[in-house]
Formats: sequence, structure tokens, C-alpha cells
Amino acid sequence: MRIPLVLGQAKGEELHRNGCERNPVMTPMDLQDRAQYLSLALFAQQMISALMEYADEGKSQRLNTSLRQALNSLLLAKDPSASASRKVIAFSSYEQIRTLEEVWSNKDRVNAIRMMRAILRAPNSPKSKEVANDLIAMFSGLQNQALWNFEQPKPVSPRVMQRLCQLA
Amino acid sequence: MDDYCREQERSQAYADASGFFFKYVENLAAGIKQELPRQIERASKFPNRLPILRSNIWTLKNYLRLLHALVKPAADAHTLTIPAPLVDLASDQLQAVEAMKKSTIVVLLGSELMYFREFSARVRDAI
Repeated sequence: MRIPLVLGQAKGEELHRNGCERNPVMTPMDLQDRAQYLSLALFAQQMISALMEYADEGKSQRLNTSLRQALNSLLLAKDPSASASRKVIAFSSYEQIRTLEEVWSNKDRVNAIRMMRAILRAPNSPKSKEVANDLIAMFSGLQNQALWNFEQPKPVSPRVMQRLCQLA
Repeated sequence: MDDYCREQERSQAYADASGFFFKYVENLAAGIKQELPRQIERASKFPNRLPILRSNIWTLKNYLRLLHALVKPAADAHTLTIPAPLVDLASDQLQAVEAMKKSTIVVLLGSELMYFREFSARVRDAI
């Protein structure tokens, strides 16, 4: 279910986080960009919930699907031409990829892929639960950065915009 | 917010995507209300997860905040004389695009023209 909306006027509330005042107004023009960050935070939250259910309570109903979706999204994030033709649930926009790059290095991404594959391969292994905890920490970092960027969206620099236009 | 949306549904006859939007917000808010006790219960059982659970709540709050910015303009747009055939045509065109088949258009009354698209299913899946 997707809801595209046309026309918007936004008046945000004042937010305080860690005692600091954040960007108080959610302006109409940056709603779409902010939604991308929030979408990434929700994706990370979905992953974290599935991993916590697995690591803390041994439940694995949502684990398989969530891990496979994340795995596909991460793999396809490296290849934009492939992601254009396939459905991905994350890392499909400039804002989301930028957030990913802010938090996870290339080595982290490779590690995350390796860890997800390890859990999928042996979900009943006790070691997999330790790996799940490491993944929870990684996705938690991603969620926090996405939330931070949601509060403080950075404009696209002219240099990056030029590069994006060339790629389009 | 869900009270406001419910009130809108009661007081106005929304036959278009706006009605669907208000219903969606109402259901989402109700779902989040149900989710909160579960998060609190988890925090009691697993205190080491508290910082993560706090971030989860923060994410949901921000999603409500984002929708909050759209609810009033959607209600205000109901007072406009909207070129319904044109909006329907645009909606049909939009749905012809692959991956946007279930999309609908909600008209908002605001000072700027903009386009907003969000994968709302992600919220439903997250809670």
C-alpha cells in the first residue's frame, strides 16, 4: 500500500533531543527527502525487531524474510542498474545510500552480508544468536543515523547534483 | 491525530483518496497505540535493549509527525472545488506506472506544489 500525495504544507513541532533544539520546522519542500530518511529508519527498525525476537526469544517467523530483503537491498545497492529493474525495499534513493555510507564502511557492508548469510545458513546455531546481536548493533546505528538525518536533512551539494544529473 | 481523522470522517463525506488517507492514519495511530505497551513490556523483560527500543519509538513518533504535517492540509482541501476528472486522470496515469499500481492521489491545500511519496507499508510491517 503506497500513498503518493500531492500538495503539502507542513508545520513541524519543535523537537528536543539530548537537550538540543533541532530543526523546528518541517518545510514542504523537504518533506520528500525527509520521508526517505524515515523510510530507512523504519526498514532498520523492521530488521532490528526481527533480530531481537530471534536473539532474545528464539522466534524466527519474521527472520528469514527480513534477512533476505535486507541482503537483496544491500547487494543491489552496489549495482544501481540492477536495482532499477528489481524491487528493493531499502537503499534505493540518494538519501538512503548517503546515510548508509555515513554509517557503514565498505568493510562493514561486506561483514553485514556475511553475517546475514551465516544466520540464514544456520539459524539454530547458538553462534548465530551472537551474530544476530552484532547485526542488531549495526542496524541500530543505521536507524539512529537515519533519524538524525531526518531531523537535520542536508541539502545536496551542487557538485553531487551535477554528478547525479550526469548519471541520470 | 486519530481522533481528528475520525472526526473528519464523521463530519465530511470523503469518497475519494482523502477518506482512504484519513482511514490509514487512523488505523496507523491505533496500531501504534497497541504497539507501545508491547515495547514497554519488552523493555521490562530486556533492559539491555532499552536504547534500541527508544529509537524504535522515536522512529514511530517521527512518522506520526510527518503524517501530522499532511492531515490538516488534506482536510482543508475538502473545501476546495477540485477538478475531480483531472485528478482521476492523473491517478489513472500514475497507476499505469509499474510499482505504483496501488497508488492514489490525495489533494492537500498548501502554499506550495509538491509531490510526496512514502512506502507506508513499511510502517505497518515495522509494528
